[in-house]
Amino acid sequence: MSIFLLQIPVQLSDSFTEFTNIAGRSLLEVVSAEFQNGSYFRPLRRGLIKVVVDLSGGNYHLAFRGFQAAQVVVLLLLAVRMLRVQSRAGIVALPLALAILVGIHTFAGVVLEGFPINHFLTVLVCCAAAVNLAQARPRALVDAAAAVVLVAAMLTIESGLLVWVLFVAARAVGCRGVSRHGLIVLTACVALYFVGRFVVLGGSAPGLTERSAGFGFSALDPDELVARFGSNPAPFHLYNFVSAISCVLFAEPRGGVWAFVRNLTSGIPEAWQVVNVITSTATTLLIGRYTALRFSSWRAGAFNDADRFVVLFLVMLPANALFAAAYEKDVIMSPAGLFYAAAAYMVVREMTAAEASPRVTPLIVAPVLVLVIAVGWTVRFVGIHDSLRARAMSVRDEWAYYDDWAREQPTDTSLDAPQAAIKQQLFEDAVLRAPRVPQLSLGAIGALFDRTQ
Amino acid sequence: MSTDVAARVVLPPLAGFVLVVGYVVAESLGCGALTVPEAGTVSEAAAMGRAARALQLMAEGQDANQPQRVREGLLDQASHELLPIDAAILGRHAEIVRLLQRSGVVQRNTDRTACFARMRLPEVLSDLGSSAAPADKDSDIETTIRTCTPKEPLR
Repeated sequence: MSIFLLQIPVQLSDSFTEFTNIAGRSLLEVVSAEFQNGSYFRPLRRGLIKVVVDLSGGNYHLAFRGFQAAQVVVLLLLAVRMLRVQSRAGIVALPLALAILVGIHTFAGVVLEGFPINHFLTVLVCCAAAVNLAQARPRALVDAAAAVVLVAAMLTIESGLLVWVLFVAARAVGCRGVSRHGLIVLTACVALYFVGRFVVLGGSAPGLTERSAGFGFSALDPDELVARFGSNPAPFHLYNFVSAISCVLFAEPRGGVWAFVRNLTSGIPEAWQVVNVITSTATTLLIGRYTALRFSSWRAGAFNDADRFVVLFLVMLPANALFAAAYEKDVIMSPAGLFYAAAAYMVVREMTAAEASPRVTPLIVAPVLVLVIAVGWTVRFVGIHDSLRARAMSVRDEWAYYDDWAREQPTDTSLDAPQAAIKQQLFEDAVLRAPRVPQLSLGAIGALFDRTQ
Repeated sequence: MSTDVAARVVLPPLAGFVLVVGYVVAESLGCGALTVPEAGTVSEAAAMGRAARALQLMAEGQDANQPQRVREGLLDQASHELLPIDAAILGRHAEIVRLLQRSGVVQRNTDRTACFARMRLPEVLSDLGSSAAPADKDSDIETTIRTCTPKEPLR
């Protein structure tokens, strides 16, 4: 995957303006300006972009895509470490868990987009790091590291607050790496965040006018959203919350739009939609069945290793969906997607282990369902690489049309000399010096891959 | 653990990993299976809608004002000698037509280019400075080229 990532140039949309914004400004200026950004509060994100730009020595493509690829590698290492693969059943379940982690639609946005640093990916790394810390032997150093991870995550993007949810939930199910005192400090950090952001800085939550959003069978632009929900946005927020949960569990809706249902009722859904919905639904059924089997033990406060991850997922899912209440976007749910993969790993591990041990509560699953899940996630895992290759082509072409892009921007895009030099560098990286990666041609098989992500 | 269940769980994703890794290795060794052929001329890039590749080839020195070969299978089953702007029109890539114009391409065979546009891509007629009306019906590549290419006088 990292090789595919390195073939994508730094993108024009959602990235180039980041370069022009920080050009000629110090790190302090860049970060402090983010404290007055109204609806969004992401000072570390832009600060990190500034650091990578300064360290890149002008080699932006390698620096930013390399950073993204490195983040993916770190995420996978941390994810595998947190799963504690020790038994034969664990080894058997691991490839499927990785296929789910990488193949799930909520993950696509963290690799297909570079802003130029993908902050959703940064938060995923922080989430995986948080679980590793929670699993560690309790020490003062772990508490300090937990605080650093939390602060880094919540100053990167709003959903970084989920790291606090993770620490609390992990302790509740018996992961005692972070001490009680450490948890109090983390909670104080979160309180400070809210006071600082909403009381001291006077920030606000994103409104309906920020962007288009999916609703029902189509997307509504900001004017339509205001006309429909301006007087009472609560139903829209509730819709987004429910949609975000359903998006993770059933791969439908996507971005708030029930496209599979629409296609099902008006004709024939796309092959990739069928693959996604069936695979996700079958996996959710498996997790649901495990939950039903183990629920009585949980009520008694007894959690084994597998239970902990299933509970973490069940806590993270609604908590994560709260951050999608303003507008539903698949990638916002990427932390829940990470723990969906972890929960699926544990359930599959328990299922295969139960086959061999009569002492374990049997989780009997139809063999055909197991095969559907494994094949479906494999298709989705391979498909993300197809999407990455298509992305490399589209980003190259995006830069070729720079003039059109500049003309369509709502704000002035004229560049001063340093900004023009950056533009020229990025243009040459993308158009003239980009690695020559061929477009994939997979024939009918390509219909199985989700190319909308 | 039942070998049957374990196999069902582990084999598909392992096959997926092997497939992706094998593809990367094969590609790095120069194997071009499962890929669309890369454009070798500006005309081919224009026909395929590959804007960045067109600019790259122009920067490498290809003259976009000269007819260039478009291999069979890219526009239709035949190979053609076409100006890049004509190839873009036949491939129905209006944005490439405009990109080529912005990049300094001069229209050399105005009547033929306008004829192509009438039959394949009427939306660029105004960009070409033509006041011709769009053709009544859609035409395939072969018909368009045959219709718009002046016939050699009989000897």
